[in-house]
Amino acid sequence: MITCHECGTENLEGLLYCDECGAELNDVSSSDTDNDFDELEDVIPVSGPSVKLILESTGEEIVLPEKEEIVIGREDPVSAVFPDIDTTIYGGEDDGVSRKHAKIYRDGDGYFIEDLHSVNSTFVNKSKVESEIPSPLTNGDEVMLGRLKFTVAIG
Amino acid sequence: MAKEITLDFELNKTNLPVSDQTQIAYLLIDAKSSTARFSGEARLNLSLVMDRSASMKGEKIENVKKAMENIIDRLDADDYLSIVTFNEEADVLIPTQPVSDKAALKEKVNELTYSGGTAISSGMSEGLNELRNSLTEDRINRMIVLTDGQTYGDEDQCFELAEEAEDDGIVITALGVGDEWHEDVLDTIAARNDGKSDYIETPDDIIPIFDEEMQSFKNIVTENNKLTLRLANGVTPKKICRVIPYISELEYESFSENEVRVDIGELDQTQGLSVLAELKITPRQQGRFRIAQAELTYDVPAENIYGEKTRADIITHFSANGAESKKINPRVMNTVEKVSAYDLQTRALTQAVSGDISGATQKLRAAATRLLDMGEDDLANAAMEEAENLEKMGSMSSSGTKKLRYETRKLTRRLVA
Repeated sequence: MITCHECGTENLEGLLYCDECGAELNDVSSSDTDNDFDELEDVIPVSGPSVKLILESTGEEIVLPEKEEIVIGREDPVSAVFPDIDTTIYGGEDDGVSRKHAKIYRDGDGYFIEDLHSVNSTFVNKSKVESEIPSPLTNGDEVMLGRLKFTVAIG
Repeated sequence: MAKEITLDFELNKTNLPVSDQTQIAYLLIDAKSSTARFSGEARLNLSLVMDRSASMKGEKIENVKKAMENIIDRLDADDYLSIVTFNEEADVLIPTQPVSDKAALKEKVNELTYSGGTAISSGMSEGLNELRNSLTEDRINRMIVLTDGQTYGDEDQCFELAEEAEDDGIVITALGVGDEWHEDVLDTIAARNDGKSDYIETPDDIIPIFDEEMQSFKNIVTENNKLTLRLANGVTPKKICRVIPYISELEYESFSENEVRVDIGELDQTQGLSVLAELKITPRQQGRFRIAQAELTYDVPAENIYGEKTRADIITHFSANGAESKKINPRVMNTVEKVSAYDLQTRALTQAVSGDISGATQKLRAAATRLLDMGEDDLANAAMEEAENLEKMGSMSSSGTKKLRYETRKLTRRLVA
């Protein structure tokens, strides 16, 4: 059974939305990307290049935490989604950013981005990124989540 | 023999996990027509039953006239058309006839004027008579009823007439303009024979909605589609919804413990026809299993084919490998999300009517979150506004209720910006 985070109702395994309150259920048995969000506080500094996302509209810099994998999206307490980078304050909601929109991670010397089946897609330098297919990121790349634009700064 | 219609299916996971517990799987079934098989358009027997009460004055009645002229333009000489107008009483503006002299028919349309009140049953009754005069099985028999007001006291007659229409194989589209009409009445009239009801927010929307309806009539390939699911032991339906062309929860008949059937209406060649079934599945071992067999029964009126059948075996793999059972099908997941938004607002409206304000408010807020996620900002805002209306005033606005009720049905067909 899956217990709803919102109302505590016990739901059958595999169910995607709570029968009682309609909240999205995080099916622990079938998905592992949902369980990594409580480690936000344990940012372990690692040496190596840092990655920043520079918001195009305001020039604001978002330094990515040093984690194996960084999920970018929109925080939604109702369905218990707490991404590493919450774009709500940057207008993510209006710009069509999904709750779990994309993830960025390091593999070897390079950084990669993967779309997480977002509704409005992820684009790198204006090319659409297929869901779950890693796409390399380099310094100066333009990343667009829905309509929210960033420039990647590595170094 | 080549099959005219094919059934395809997808599940929300490529492999279902082997589990010691009962699990839910989402099954999406698509009925498609092979375009090569059907080239000709279906012939129509159409009756337009239009409100001409005093409140239709101005833009509404003028746009209804234009919309009817467009329909006349798109009909052919082997289609039949009748037009009935009503206030407390009904008049036959155009008795049923082949659409040969279009100029003369349009001239009649321009005679339409407004006065008086609203009694939908008077119009429906005359419309039905006209349709019966040109009723043949090989035509698509349709009535479009349009009103802008509440019908007073004749709801039951309306429902009886809808039942008579169903007996004659006539499907009714019920359209409400503005905010004064009653959703339950129009929904019940249309739903009787699986027709569509819709909300026309402003007079400007009258013409496009008529055009769209006309196009869908012309695109009908099969009618009277019935989907039967024969389920394997340990598989039971939890909920069955039509998702394309629009979302609606379907009531299912159970013939035996392992067999259910749903009426799913007509198949429009461009839109397609899809059904989402939530299935409860008891534990299975690793391996390939047939969890169900789907069978579609349908009529092709244009070809004089009735009760044709097509089948598909729903086979899936149960895997104990964690990685394998994590592969999801985005299209099915996306559809489930839309149905869940529709479902939340439906439950909110029901709870609001029954006086459960806090329950309704919670559902509306949850619906708003989901809608925002899907990029449906407009509908999300409407849901938030109505949640506030409920909290502050204890009731929802008529326009907001209608917008949510009718627009969330169409979530599966709209392209996200």
